[in-house]
Amino acid sequence: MRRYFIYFLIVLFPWNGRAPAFSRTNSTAPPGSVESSLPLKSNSVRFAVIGDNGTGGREEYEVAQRMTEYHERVLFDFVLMLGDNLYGGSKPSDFEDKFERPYRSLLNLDVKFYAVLGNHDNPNERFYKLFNMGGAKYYTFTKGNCRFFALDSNYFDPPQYAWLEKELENASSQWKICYFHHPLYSSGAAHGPSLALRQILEPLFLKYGVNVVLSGHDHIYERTNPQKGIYYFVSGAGGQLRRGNVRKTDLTAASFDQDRSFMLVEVAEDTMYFQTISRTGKTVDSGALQRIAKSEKISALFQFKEVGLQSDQP
Amino acid sequence: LVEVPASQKPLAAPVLDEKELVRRFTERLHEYLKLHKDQENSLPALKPTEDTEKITSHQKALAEKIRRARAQAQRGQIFTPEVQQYFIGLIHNEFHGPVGRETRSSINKGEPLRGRLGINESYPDGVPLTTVPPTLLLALPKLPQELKYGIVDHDLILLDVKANLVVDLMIDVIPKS
Repeated sequence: MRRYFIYFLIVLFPWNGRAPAFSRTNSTAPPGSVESSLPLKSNSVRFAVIGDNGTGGREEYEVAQRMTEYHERVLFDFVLMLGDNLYGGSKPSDFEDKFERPYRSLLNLDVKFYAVLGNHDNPNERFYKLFNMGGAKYYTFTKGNCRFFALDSNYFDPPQYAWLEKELENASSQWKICYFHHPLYSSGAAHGPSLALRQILEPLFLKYGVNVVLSGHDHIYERTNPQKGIYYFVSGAGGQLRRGNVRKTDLTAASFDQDRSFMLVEVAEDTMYFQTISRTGKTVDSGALQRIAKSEKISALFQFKEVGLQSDQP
Repeated sequence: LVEVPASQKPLAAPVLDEKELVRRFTERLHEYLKLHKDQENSLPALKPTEDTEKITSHQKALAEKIRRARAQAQRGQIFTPEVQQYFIGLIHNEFHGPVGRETRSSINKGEPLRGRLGINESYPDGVPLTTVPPTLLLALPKLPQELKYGIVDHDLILLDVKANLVVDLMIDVIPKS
């Protein structure tokens, strides 16, 4: 059993939302003096994550400002956008007010944004160069030892399924990270998990060793306990917020639904470090996840059945 | 978006072999696709750009050209009565099968558009799209990438993605929750 825990989750802070030793929970950093719990190792892959951000409201701008402050310290190269990039329309003024202006400082620093489509997005956003979708509704790219798969969960049709299977099969990167709008696991009361999508995607993720899945749609932050060896995050409060919307269950490892938030992620060799930061600069979750190899996932799946999901009890 | 009096039952249709039915359906899709491509080829090609005005105007211009070219288009030209009967069975399986309740609930939670769109009408800008259950997409005949199925209230629509335009629709085929 102990060996199993060591294999399955070598380091995971905090369990059940308790603060890890190195997190800065409940600290509010004044602008310009932010500190990060990320180790900032050389040659690591560093990125930020936002979802459901494109409101054009004051809070979106404030989150963007906080991201810029953290960029000074963390120097992340790119941002994953989990969909609902532009609420309320896709006129030129929407692109300007809901994307270009709030993230102008990051764009000027040559930070790239890699978007996926949410249910509020016009599919033609894929032609917007600054979303780096290359005109495609789904696409893949590599950064260091990570392969990213950007999916269109609004319309997961057979051609996309075939494409994803081929791309996952051919991907040789250490880390396989999928991101898309609708979560497979979520404790958000407004939407919750997309079970039909889970039915289709989860077998593929398990078969081809996906390590991490990032989604939005529910306007909350949640990190789940690993499901069948895969880490799931919901980060859908980059602009929108459904305050008090998390209904915690055994699924929830940590959550935050009191303010807008974004994530910072650093992948270094077999470890993924993450830090989730609120609009006001509070670190609301952080930790390090060990990559789980595909073979371990399968044995862990059987182990889970035997032990009855006890992994959330350290 | 116009409210239209409800249900028109699909016309009685001759029973066709499923394979033949899908073949004819695909043929009609390709006829539409040819029209789409002819219209699009008369416009400057849309490539990834920072000029958002180009993206918006391309969508509008393409929709306008297709509207003109299909001014006489009527409901049921692609979703013929035979196709409708076939689809109704597939949709029924999806919405009343093992995950049916979840499917209906997820559609209702997805801020669905109420009312009815007509042929050659644009999908309204800024209104969220109802996610078509992926399990249903696996069952329905495959579409070329220029087209997609969509759900608007209780209707199944065929949408031209780039033009953001309704190409055909089947009314009252999505079960009420």
